[in-house]
Amino acid sequence: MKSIKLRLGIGILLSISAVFILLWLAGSHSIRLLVVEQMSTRLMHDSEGLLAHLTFDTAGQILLDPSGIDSIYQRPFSGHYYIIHSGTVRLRSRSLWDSDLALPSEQSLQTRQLHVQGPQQQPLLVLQTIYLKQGNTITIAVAEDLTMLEQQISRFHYWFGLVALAVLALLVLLQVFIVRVGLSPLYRARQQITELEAGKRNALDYDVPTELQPLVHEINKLVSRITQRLQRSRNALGDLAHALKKPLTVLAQLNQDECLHNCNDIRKQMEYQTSDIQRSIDHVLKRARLAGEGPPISQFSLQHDLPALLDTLARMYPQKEIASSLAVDDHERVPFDREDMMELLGNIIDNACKWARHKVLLDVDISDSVHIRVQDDGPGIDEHNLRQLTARGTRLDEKTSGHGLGLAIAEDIVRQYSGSLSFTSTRQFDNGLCVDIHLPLRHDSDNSGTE
Amino acid sequence: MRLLLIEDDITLVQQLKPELERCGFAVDVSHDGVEAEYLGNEAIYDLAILDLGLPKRSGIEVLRNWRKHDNHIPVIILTARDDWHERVDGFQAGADDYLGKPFHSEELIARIQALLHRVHQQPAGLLKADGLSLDEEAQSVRLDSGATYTLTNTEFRLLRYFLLHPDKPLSKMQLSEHVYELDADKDSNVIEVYVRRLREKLGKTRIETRRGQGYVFRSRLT
Repeated sequence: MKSIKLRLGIGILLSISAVFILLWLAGSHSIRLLVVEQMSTRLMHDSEGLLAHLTFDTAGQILLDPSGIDSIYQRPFSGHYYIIHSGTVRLRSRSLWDSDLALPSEQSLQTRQLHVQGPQQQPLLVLQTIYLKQGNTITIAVAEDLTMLEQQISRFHYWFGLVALAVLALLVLLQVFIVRVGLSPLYRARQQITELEAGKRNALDYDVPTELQPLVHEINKLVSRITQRLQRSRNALGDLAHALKKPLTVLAQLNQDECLHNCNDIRKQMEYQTSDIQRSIDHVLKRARLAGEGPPISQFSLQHDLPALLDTLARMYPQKEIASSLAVDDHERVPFDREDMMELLGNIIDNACKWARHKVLLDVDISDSVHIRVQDDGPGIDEHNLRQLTARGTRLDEKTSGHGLGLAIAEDIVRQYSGSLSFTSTRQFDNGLCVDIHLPLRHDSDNSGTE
Repeated sequence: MRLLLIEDDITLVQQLKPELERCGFAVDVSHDGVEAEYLGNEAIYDLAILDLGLPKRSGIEVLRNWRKHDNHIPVIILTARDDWHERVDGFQAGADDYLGKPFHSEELIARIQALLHRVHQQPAGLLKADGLSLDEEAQSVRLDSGATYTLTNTEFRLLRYFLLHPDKPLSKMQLSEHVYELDADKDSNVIEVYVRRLREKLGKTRIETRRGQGYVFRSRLT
């Protein structure tokens, strides 16, 4: 049983049911006690009433004054009966008609309560008392039918049960509601974690119940630690690149030194080697710096970062025209890392600008996934090389038909985001290259389906 | 043309400075951000070459401060940090061009010349005026008459400055500021000497003397 909701529900249901059963039992028991107690008090009065109307004649024969007898004792099987017993005389109420009550003989001067089966299967409560009057022992047993009482009690059982069931149903509904409300911070936190993963937020809200606070705190700490670590390693790599490039720059400059003007071979070798080192550093470091999927440090904004990038490219290539069209519904931000996207788009568009004669077209289409298409009106690439570029698993290295390091880095970025990169001949212009990039967008609904 | 080279790597400066001077630029060097920002505000520089990783104040911050105070000095960022997002940040901060390290000094010089042409609204290629053209590579001037003169470094610097600021009165002070380095011995009489030498080559009417104002280089000969 893994669901907290189910566990809480069953626990609450069981405990409420137990309370109701107990209440039901205790209720009916105490009502019966109360009624029997009241009934026996009444019977006691009746018994004492009978005693008051008993006299003895001179022969010691017991006599009952008929005026002292309640009419209820006269109606046959009325449910109210008495039996007076003294010596050999046994007086029965008229209501008993021709039946008798089987009563135990009593010795001690005590009042006893008995449950006896009466005429017509009536369950009777019998109060048997022994009195001493004018030196004679008199046993008076007064009985009353319990049928009405039993009926009332079973009616009580029925109604109580009915009401209890209704209340129980109400309580169950209420507890479902309470549990749902009580667990809503958990759902919210889960929702936020999904968003966190999709890169839609940077941290979980602290506005949660105290029980969840430590969890949220830990998750936030973890996220910020990951972010910091990524930032730190990026910075470290940037510093390393910086540190390596300084001596490389000096070496490249040394190459131009006049002393080397006569040693063309050495110069060429040095130039080749230094540029080789530089390319390797660039490639490895840039790949290492990619953030890839996960919570991005800062997201790429179509409203700010894309125009800034296009502005930069326009300044770098003042003679070329870069036209862009965006088909974006509500995705102001795409959940991709800003630096990665800058690097990807920068490299692809830069490459297009380099080869374009006049014009570069950029299309960004975001619906279920991100589709980026960059076309140029440059010389393009022949069929054979295109196939090689597009072939799966083929690494685009820096030697491929002059479409330098930039495309290789772009390919690395696309792969990090589980996307695809393909090259075709453009249909927009007479010739020229068309680069298509597809990047999948992760949706929240993908994760929330796992209830 | 007077350049401000802002770079903390001494070795690189030692290599780059003579190279730039050979190409006819007066070069002042600053090694840290605070000094660089101050110098850049002096309004005597035609262009700044800015490294981003500087001690005391980062290059980006220096650039932002200049732009914030309406200092529109043309800036080429020269840095090892050449990721695209850094490049974009550099341009957004107000850079005019961006060059990643390592680089070839020819490329830097070509970019400096291209940027200077752009800033002074001159077309790319040779610097031209009615009847003459200046080859910045060869540091020679060619007249429509067919005569070609190789110029000395100072003559070249002076003529280029004239060509980039045609039809404007330029004082001797201003000319010497843009032709010589900060620590050079500035004697305005020297400018007179060089103007005379240029007149010998280009003809007397090309550079006009205006009393109390200095010189005017005339783009059109009537």
